[in-house]
Amino acid sequence: MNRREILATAAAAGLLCASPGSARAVAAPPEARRLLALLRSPAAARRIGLAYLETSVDEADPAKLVALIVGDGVDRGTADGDLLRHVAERQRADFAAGRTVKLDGWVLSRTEARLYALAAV
Amino acid sequence: MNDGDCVGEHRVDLLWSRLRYFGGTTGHWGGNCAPLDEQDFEERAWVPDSGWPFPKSELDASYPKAYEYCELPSANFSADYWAAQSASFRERRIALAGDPIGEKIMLKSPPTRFGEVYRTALSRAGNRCDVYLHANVVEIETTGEASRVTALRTRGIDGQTCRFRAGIYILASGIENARLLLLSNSVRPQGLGNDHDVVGRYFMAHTTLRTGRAMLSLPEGTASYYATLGWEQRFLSEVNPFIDALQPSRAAQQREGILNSVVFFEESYEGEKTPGFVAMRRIAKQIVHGRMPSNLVHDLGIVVGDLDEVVKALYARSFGDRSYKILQTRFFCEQAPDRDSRVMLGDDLDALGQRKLVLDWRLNDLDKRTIIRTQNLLAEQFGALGVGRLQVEFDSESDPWPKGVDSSAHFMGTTRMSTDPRRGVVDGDCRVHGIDNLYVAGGSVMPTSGATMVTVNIVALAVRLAGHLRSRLS
Repeated sequence: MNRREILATAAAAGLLCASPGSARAVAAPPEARRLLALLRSPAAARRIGLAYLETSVDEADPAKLVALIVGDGVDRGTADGDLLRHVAERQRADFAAGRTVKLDGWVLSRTEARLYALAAV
Repeated sequence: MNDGDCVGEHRVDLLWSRLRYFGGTTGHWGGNCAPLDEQDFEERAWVPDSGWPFPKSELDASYPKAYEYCELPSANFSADYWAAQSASFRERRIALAGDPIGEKIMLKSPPTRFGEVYRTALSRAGNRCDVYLHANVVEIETTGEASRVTALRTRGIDGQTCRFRAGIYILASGIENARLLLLSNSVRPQGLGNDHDVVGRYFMAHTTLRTGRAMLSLPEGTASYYATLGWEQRFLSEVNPFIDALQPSRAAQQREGILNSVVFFEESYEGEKTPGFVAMRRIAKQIVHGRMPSNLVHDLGIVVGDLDEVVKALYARSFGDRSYKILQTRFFCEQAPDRDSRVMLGDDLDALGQRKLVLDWRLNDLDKRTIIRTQNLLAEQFGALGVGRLQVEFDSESDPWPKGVDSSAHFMGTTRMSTDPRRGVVDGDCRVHGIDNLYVAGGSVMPTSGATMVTVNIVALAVRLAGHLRSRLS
């Protein structure tokens, strides 16, 4: 994973993009599609996500990843903008609490690493 | 005469980093200034051999005069103050939480070249100060029991010798202070002030490492407020009067069990860390310093072998191509006091027939942990603020030190201050233990180095010493 991939994957402020992208469809759950739509570059996200899954094999399940990414307080009625803010807030909380992972040296929040993993499963 | 050998893993350039002329190394310093922090003076349980004989509050009275001597634009080191002064900085200032990462403002001296700026005042008639140039002290002569200095013996390159006598003697010559004490061994075979084998020990520098890079969502120009002056900026007519360095809070240092440190940003371009570009920079640096490049053929070979990367980096820098721009993090850290990090006398002789220095600069696990933990704190802080992400390269304390560890040419310790003669060479007044009229000034007396530039702190210590001597002599 190089700098250009990271840049392609994420907007630096929150590593997420508000505008819907061309994420591939996943089988389930339905929130997964909405989460993947937040990614700017799903292809690069998949590469990062695969690196994460190598370190966390037990999380290679879309339903489990969605639950870990959004936690509580989000349902189908949550607007995309609110979903983005919710996930961004969880990322910040991860950093504040030291819940980080290092992938190719990049220090990422667990939530964002799981989001990339969601693109890879 | 400044040259010497380096043994051990980490090397410094003893020849280039020091200037043996009137005004000393102020002749080539960068000019950044900030006082030491309070914790730098305290005994910290996780930093062996830390603690000064006095708290920072005692040195505070000497700083205003030191700022004046260093011609600082202000005496205000508050980031809030500078944000109020500068709209540009206000817009670009990173909204750090203070803990775990806060700010440390460094103000810029012109920089003051002391030899030039104060030469006229010192040569003025009636100022009770005589300056002798080319008088290299080769021995400190003492009474038979070495309790008082009786004279300084000097020798010029032409072989001419002199003896200088005074009531009080002050050594003020960086690590040469330790060398001179060790060389003055006619009465005490182990050297003066060295009854407990401390002279030359606890050599410290500011451990500097450019490692890792940042991907930040910040307005253009932000990095200039968080960077030391790059070579290209030296030609600008206007530069920021301060640097806002990123600094782990005092509480974070305690929680993590790490040394004091600050972090700067440096903008560079892809390809500038390749062996070819590094070799080219090495050649250019030596030419700029008026020297014939050493290992020229070897380095040119590396440049040619890496030519595509060199050209790419040169192109990107020349045209400011942002797509190749990298924001690098530069860690500037206090070094852990270490008794085995030391200067000694070697067997080789200099032009005056004096034994040259041998330096064994050692960094330990605490030094490593400080950089690694600081970069993690920084990464977590950037993420928590939503500012961006950090990529780290030096990630494990079990890894060897990466290439490029630098001393910043800030040489400290070797005649450290302590109330206990077994742990220090000079007492809290900077007087050599056991010798009534011999004092030491400069970074060599500092028991710990802090994470700031040394010059203004050396000047403050000199102001404090002057006050002590004024009291003593009156």
